[in-house]
Amino acid sequence: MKFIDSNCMLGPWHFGKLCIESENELIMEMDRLGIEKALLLDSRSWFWDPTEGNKLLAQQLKNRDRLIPVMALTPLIDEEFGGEEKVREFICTHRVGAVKLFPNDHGFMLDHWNADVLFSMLNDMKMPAIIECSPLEGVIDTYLPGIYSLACAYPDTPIIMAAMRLQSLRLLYPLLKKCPNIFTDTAMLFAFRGIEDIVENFGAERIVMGTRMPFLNGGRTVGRVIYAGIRDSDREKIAYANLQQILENIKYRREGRRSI
Amino acid sequence: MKRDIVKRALKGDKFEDLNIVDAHCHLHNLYSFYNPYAGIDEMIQEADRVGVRNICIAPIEGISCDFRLGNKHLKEAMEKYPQRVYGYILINPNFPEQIDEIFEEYYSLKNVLGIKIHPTAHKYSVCGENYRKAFDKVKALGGVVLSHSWQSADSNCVVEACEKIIQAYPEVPFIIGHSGGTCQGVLKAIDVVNKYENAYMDTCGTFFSNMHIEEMAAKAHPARILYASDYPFHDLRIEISDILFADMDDGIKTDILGENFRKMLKINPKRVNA
Repeated sequence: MKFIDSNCMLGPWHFGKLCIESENELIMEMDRLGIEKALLLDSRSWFWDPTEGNKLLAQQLKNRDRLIPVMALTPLIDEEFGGEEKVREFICTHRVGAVKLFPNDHGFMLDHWNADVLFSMLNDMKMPAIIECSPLEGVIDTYLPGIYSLACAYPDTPIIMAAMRLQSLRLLYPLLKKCPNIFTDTAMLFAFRGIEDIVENFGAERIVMGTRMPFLNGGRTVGRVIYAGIRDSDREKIAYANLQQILENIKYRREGRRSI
Repeated sequence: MKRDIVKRALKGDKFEDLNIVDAHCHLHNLYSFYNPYAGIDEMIQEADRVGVRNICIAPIEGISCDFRLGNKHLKEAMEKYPQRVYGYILINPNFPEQIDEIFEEYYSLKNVLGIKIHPTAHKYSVCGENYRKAFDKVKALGGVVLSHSWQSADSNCVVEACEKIIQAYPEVPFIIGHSGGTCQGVLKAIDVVNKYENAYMDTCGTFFSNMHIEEMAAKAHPARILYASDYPFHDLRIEISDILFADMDDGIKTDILGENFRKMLKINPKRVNA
């Protein structure tokens, strides 16, 4: 079984040493667990400065055949990131595999009225938006109505709920039910028979593999998927095929049309 | 150093040969979140999927509002799967007058291993007098104590409080459930299990600490770490995968997955089996 990981990070952390600190160590761990590729965020784009962290990741990433850069963004495309053109240029040049949004930790609202420019661009490129659902501070719950409105308004944007916290199926299921472009990763999908229940109710297409390394052992998710009580064809979708499809659908367009 | 377990796990092998014991499980669901229904049949099905031989349960209702019903359901589950399901009787310290009665009715059941307490849920300190009444009975009758623990503002079951009981009852094996949970909690639990021979730490929920099992096993006396899943609160496959796939010697994994638990039961064997 091969895996593609949607939720991986490298870089320093302010609360201590993490068990995987270098690209080589990450590649070794991926090899040990059968993970072929991973979407990778630089911790500094989360915990220090999104623009600087994005640049550092782009400059320092070596194993580009295995590690796909994730770009942290906020709705202030013009003010913080130099405008849509520059963002598109960065995405295309570095073959960014997903954009990650941290509404809690980066302190922005996430709704149609303020994130329309951002999501219009993502929608045009069919670029996945990964929403961090286990922030350093607070909970994602208050953002869910906005995420719902964005998912409805921009149906070509796959929205991946990353590390939706424990015991949150009552929050997640209505989104999965109403929005076919909303997905969940496996990183903290710890509910008893949670994967099996989502597969039965919404289809295996709605789950993408995510380990949350280095915060969590990658083996947790690998084992959860290997031992899931589902058909092998569904297991393959979760392990790699769904994310692979999302990545293949990305349109790396340097020029785009805003369709707000 | 043998590394066969991870190779087998990558193929989805069942580990019946390891006689895995899950030291800390529940039964049924809790009001505050939705999980698919978790009866004892469903739990056994999930244990079979990985090859977990024995599960040690404490029904959820017993650590929330109804310890009497919890103990009744514990008995029924053990009777239905006598070779597979073991358990801890549930004590609610807010009903001290019923502690004797619960012991009388359930403690002699063969598959009862000891008691489970949840000082946070019952808002009562692990060091409180009513719990001590139950600990005295475990000391006299044999068995083990499993306590929820969490290093937080709620002082009822921080590891330091558990340590006082561990120290006061050296004959009684005491499992620090969740190993204190947070990073500080796990570090403190490691100190405690390294200091007291009757102290054990279980693995469920320790992902909150960002400390991985490899580090725990390197820092703590490896014979004092017990595999536990907390299922169906969480899914069984999460915590066991943490160990099966860990970058760790197979011998240590085998001990954590069951050997340590079996040895622990010999320290203070129950003397009242029916």
